[in-house]
Amino acid sequence: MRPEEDSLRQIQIEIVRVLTKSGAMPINGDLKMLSSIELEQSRETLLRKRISQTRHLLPRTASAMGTSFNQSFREFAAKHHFNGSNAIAMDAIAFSKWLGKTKIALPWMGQLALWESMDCHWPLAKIYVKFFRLQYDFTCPFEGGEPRRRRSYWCCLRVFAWSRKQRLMG
Amino acid sequence: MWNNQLPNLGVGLAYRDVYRTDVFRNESEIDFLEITADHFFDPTPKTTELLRLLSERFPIIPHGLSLSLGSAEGFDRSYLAKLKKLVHQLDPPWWSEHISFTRAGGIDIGHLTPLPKTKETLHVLRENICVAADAIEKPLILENITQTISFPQDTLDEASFLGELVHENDCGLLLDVTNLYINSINYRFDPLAVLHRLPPDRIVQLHFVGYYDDGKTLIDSHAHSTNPEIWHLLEEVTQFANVKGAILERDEHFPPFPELLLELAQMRKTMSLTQGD
Repeated sequence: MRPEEDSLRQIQIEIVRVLTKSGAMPINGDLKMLSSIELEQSRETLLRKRISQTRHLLPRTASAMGTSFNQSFREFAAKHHFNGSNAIAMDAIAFSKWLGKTKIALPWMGQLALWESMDCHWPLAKIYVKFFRLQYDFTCPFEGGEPRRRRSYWCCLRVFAWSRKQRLMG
Repeated sequence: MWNNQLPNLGVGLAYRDVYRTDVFRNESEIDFLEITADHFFDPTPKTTELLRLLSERFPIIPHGLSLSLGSAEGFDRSYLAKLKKLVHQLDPPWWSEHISFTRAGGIDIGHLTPLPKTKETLHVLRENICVAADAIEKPLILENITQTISFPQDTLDEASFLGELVHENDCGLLLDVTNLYINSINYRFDPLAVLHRLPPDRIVQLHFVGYYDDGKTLIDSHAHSTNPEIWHLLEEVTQFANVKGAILERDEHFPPFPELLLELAQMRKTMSLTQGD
């Protein structure tokens, strides 16, 4: 990597840090000149996008909580940020768990959110099926003990669903 | 002319699930569709069937969101592999991505973030586009995004940056007319001056939708019908360049479908008046 590209890389890392952490401001020398208003607006846009996507996945919870949904999500988002293509589903699952643990929402709202977030697990789930082969020798006693048939059976050893979310979030 | 090799697709819609039934019912009034590629990665049987039904009826352009062509650390190869598979499946005349980055330091924020307009950024884009173009052998067109951050490091203006980018990489331009207008108001420049410095033969496709004015800045909300200023700029763009397709992008506050069809008809009229089709 050329020095100039490394400089661009540092700028991008710094911007991602600033946009994903509430109240964070640039510490990189060059980026200190960025407009704090623009950064705040960009952070707000990103947060609104997450809220909108989570509302879409948890519509009943959003409806039950009314205006406190957005405020609660903002508190949640200050400490949680997920990465990658499943970030939207993971946001919804983690937010519903967080609602269940905090005193912000009524207990049944947390339960409603957990119930609703069940659907979000599917995009994160991977189903593993492991097959193995059994060779089965069939010996016929009437033909001098010679193996009569050899058959292979593909057996399904185990089928289980494993959620990546469970591994990541415990 | 670079874009002479590409077919005329007409006027279409950015496909959203809320309009699924309407899209099929109004097939004759939609020339082509643009799908968000990310929504069709790792498809379920239902998604596969939907894509099959759509592709039987419409030309489809895959539009990537998170390839992150501007990332100095390179991009996610698994994302590229999925995109390649989708493009291969659809066999579109071109595919598109944004001039932005979404990941840095191993974190993907899933949000189109602007890049400094410098030679270094052009170099990074060239390296990444080269890898993407090797993998996907269809013409790539790049979209201008809303400038939400202005960098002190900028050494190039909007028109020079876009012009150099498409020439160096043999790419086309997906000109988001709404983004061009929003940037021109928020950062005080003349959109027509920028437009007339862009290479007209590289402008392949347009995006258009209304903006939201919060009193201080214009916001690319994808939630409002196309404003008169945008229609005026669309007329200018279609007079300036022989565009091959235009897509209406609506993501929020979905209106009744006939309202979208009216906008498509108006765009079709604009294109036919200025391009003499």
